[in-house]
Amino acid sequence: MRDASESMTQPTPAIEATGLTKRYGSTAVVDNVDLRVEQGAVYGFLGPNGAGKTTTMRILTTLTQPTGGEAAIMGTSVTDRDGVRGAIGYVPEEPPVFDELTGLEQLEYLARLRDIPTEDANGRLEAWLDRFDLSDDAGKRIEDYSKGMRQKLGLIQALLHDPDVVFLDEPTSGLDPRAARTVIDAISEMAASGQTVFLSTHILSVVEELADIIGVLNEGRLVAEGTPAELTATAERGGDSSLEDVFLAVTTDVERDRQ
Amino acid sequence: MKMTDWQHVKAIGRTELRRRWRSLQGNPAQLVAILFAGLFGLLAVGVLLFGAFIFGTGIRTGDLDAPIDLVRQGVIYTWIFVLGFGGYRAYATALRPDRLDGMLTTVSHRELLGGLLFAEALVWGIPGAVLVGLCVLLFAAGSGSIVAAPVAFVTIGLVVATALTGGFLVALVIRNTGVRSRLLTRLRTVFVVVLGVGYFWLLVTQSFDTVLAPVYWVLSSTPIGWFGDLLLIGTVTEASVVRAAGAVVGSGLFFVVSARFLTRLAALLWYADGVYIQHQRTDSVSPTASRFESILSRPIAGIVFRDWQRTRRAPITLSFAIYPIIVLVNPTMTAIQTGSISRSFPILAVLSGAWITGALFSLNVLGNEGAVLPATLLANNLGQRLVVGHSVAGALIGVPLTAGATVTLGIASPHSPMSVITLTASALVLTLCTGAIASGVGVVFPRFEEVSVSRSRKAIVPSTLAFVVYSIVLILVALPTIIGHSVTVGHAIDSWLGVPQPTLRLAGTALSGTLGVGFGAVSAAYAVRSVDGFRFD
Repeated sequence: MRDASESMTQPTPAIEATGLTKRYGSTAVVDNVDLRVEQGAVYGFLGPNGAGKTTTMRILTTLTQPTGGEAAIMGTSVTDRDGVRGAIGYVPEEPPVFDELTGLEQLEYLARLRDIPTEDANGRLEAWLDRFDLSDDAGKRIEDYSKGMRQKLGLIQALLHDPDVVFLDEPTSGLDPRAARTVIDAISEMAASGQTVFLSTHILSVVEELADIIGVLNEGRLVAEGTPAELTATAERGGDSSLEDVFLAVTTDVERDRQ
Repeated sequence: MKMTDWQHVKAIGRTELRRRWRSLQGNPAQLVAILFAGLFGLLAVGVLLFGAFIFGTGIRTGDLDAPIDLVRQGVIYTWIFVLGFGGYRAYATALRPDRLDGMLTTVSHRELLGGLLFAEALVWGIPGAVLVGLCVLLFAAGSGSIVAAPVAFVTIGLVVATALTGGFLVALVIRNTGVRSRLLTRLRTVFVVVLGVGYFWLLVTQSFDTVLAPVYWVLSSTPIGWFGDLLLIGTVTEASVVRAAGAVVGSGLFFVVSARFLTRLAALLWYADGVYIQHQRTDSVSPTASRFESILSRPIAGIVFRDWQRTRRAPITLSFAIYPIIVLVNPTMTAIQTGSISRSFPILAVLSGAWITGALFSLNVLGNEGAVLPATLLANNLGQRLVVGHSVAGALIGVPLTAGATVTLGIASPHSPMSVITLTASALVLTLCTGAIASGVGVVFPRFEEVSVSRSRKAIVPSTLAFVVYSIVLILVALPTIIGHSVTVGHAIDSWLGVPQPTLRLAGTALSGTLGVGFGAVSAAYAVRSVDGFRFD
């Protein structure tokens, strides 16, 4: 009875996946992955190249269907694309912006597609552009933007509609330290305001700084999961283990087992 | 459709048009091409308008026998043409949205499809409606029937709309099959070549009727054929009201059914995983590679194999090598139509073969390295290895093919055996030299960055300027062979200077060979020096 009342009051997890599997022919790219990310958490998703991180993200953002298992965003199954779309913001590694538009046109376009009223959108755009130091360049064509400016623009357009869950694939890749810091601060603020962030990156220091929970994916399997402190403690390398030690240990163990 | 959906469709369509216009503004060559096409189009528009008036007048005066059959025929062939055009547009550009992942996590695939169709409808629909409007007005004026104008306008609108929708459906079915079939994915290039050869065959043998006649026969007893009755309703008495109504009802049903199919097929395509082809990693060297390594040095054999492998995986990088085939179109058509090989065919085969051989891998020796250039530059004797490697990669394909084609065509043509020998000698020398010639030109006009070779595909291809300059040099080098083996020029020189034709052919081959070796040596030396001295700014 007590359990039932507890489960009734427990908030819906932002991301939940059970036995998530994606196969291409006989190759399992994502293999029986279980995930549970609570609302407002920052989930750091680590893994070597080809581990299946992007495929997992594509499943969770409804871009591809799993071949096995289930996943839900804010309680809505990822098979219900129309239901999930409004709840998420997604910034792939290459930000989805159109070179022929100006930065402002791109954001106004996205605001229209997200049904944000014009007056409201104008205020939000102004604030975001100012926040990311893009106000002066908002009238320039995106083809003239640097990688960092594109990344920031991609991030703004993913956040415009105030989504519950934000998926970020390598958000600081190719950014100079100042721009990277702006993005990291923005992610911290998102989490502080209750948004859930699913963050895939190779930059361990970013995950170490931001993530509440870290999951390490290797060859499609979730080989380690826990808070940064838990992971470094289980690395069994003494008190001065770093996240890098953990990463190398769990990915190397799997490789050795396979051989 | 909900109001918000329609707002999204409009926003996507308008943005798509804005992007296309800006992209066009940044591409003056394309703008000029469209302008020229527009100018030629004006002529066709004039003919069409005049034809509509004459046709209407013919119906009014009774000068036309069985106009209903003529209109049915015209409508069916127009429908097939628009279907092909729509299918091509959809396959090549219209249904390949940019930034697909970003769009599909923002709007539904239905809205995205609607937006793209809306953009297409505006681009083609507005000028089309103006043109059709003028045509039907002149037709009505000629036929003396006011009702003919609106009826014809609606009919033509339905013909075009159903054909475009049909074309889009066909394109989506083909693309869905393509992304799911391992066989089609692997053999895509072969299929495109077979289709191209088939089209070319129909063109030169003028046998389109063979294909279109059964299609016409089938379509004539469907609502598509009945559009002919609808167009002439109220203008000629032979037009059947029942068939006209059938055309309208059939169109309505078609739109309802195809709307569901279009959205379903678009979703299947855009959310498709695609064929997963795992490229086999082979640590051991293949037997062919071992044989090459026993003849060539290992680095050069490596460059040769890499060139071939990259081409097999991305044949589009060889797009420039296709242009020289143009010189073979005319003699091939003549050969098919007359059943005999013209004298010019083997000569042009030498030119085309040598031209292609150099353009295959040597036109961008530095830029071709792409992102790995900084690492490649650390190798010893890099210039020599790259120039020789790329030239050998081209020559191993070009020399046997060109020489073989020259001998075969030469024997089948009116050329004397001596002439075939000198032509083959030219083919051998020129194909061996063109790689070296192209290398030097390529380092003068390199291209390092990827460019759009189609709307959805980017690749590093040689610069246009490099190809143009290389082509000019190659033609200059091959010119003595062409002149020496030309009967007309040979006769003229014989009668003017008294130089016999066999001597002229020999001299032509010798001069082309000397020029080829000379230009090749200078060009290759320049390329080697430039590559070895290359530094990043």
